[in-house]
Amino acid sequence: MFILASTASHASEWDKLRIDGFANLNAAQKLNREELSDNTAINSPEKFDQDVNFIVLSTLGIQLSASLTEKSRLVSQLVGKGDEEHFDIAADWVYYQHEMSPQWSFKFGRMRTPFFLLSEYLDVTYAVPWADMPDEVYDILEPFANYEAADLTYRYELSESTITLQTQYGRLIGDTWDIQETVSFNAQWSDEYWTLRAGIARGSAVILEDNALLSNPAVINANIYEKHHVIENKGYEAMFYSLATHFDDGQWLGIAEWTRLTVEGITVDQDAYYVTLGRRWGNWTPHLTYGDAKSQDDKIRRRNNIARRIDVDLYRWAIGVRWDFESGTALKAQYEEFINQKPSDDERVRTVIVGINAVF
Amino acid sequence: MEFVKRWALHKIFIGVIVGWSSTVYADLVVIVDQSSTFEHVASDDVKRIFLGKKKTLKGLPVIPIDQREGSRHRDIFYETVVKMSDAQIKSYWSRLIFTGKGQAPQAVANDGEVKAMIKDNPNMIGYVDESEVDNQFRIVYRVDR
Repeated sequence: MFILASTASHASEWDKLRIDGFANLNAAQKLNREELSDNTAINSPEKFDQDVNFIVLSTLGIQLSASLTEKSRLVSQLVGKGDEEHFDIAADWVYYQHEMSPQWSFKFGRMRTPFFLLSEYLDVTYAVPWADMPDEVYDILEPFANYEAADLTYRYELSESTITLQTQYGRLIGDTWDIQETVSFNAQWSDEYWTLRAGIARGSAVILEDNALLSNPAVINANIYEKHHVIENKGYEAMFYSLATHFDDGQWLGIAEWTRLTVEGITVDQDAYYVTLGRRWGNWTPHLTYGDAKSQDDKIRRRNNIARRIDVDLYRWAIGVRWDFESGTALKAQYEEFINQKPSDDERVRTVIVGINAVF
Repeated sequence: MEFVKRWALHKIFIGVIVGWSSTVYADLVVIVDQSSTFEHVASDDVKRIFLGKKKTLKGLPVIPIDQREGSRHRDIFYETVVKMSDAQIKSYWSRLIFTGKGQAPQAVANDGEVKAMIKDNPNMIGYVDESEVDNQFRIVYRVDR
């Protein structure tokens, strides 16, 4: 691939074909026997076990970008991911992009969802300080990481900063939800050190047959179908909100993001946030993170006699270090503790991840 | 006699140091083609152009031409003008490249290739050693170290 990339970059003065790639190779382990209840929507530690698992968070991505003209190109991203037993490869992205001017650009096809600060580079772990994305915010988004959409982006250059406005329209089909007619808008301002971002998205959420809600004993026991007609095969209004900031002056690094997901009806509405502070000493960047996720509509479920087990009240803290030991390659180690306070007593799960993240 | 010897040694020493520094430290300048309308470009603008944050100058598109990794001139340029480490630059571009929001500047092997790219392209801008600049090009910024 390196040879191909090198050949490609020589191919023409306009770089007709560009090949970029990223890789995450991680060893992950759960350090204790406890498990998080299903209510948390936190996936990562549940994929680990007490044996070291080398493939669970491993990802390989190859991005091909073919210039059709000076202003338009086709971009495709092939991503291979490991789960407990397999390593599967899929075309995560295929889109057409046209730059009408230095300010305006248009994309059409299958692309990353842009709802949260990091959702467009969810798998490019090299670009972030952590060994794994913040679970309390990003695990909810995981089934909706890619979608078919049209995107219009506007960039406006101020004297020392840039404003980017982005809007998309598309359809998100996950394993358990089909979110139709999704419209999103986000605005970002960034200067040399700071990025400030706000995003909002709205869609019509239809529950698919294998949605856990339909087989959840708590929902069945509450006799939801007959008594309350809360779950029907219709579109429920789903909203995503995100506020985020990113600071990096070369020495100090700070990232904070707050998100809100609301879905009409008994489905959990959840607020989540994380705050990370890191500092660079040469090639070393130690960092500390606190994260929290809490359901905001517990009362709705009480009213419908649905057990407390769907509610969410979880926090997480993490300490980690990044070592940029070679150009384009970083070694990361991260220790995390998840503390789940619902449905009952505190559940504590401790994990450790050690991995190599690279871009090429 | 002793004085002459010392003076000569001193000269040789200075000569070696000057010679050494001129090979180790290049005098980098940012250039455009003579046909370009770009004249003086501020340090911050040079930085923003090479980071893809500034895509126009005087209302015209501006296209940076970079030098490949491993090039000494590239190391000096990023250390003194962009003021970002290699890891920071890589993280920065990976956030843009893998979101389809930008492409790192096209990179060529050396000063000669930078000049070959820029020649007759009034929108392009690149950095080379000052000794490489002839009357086909215009210096728009001198890299201060």
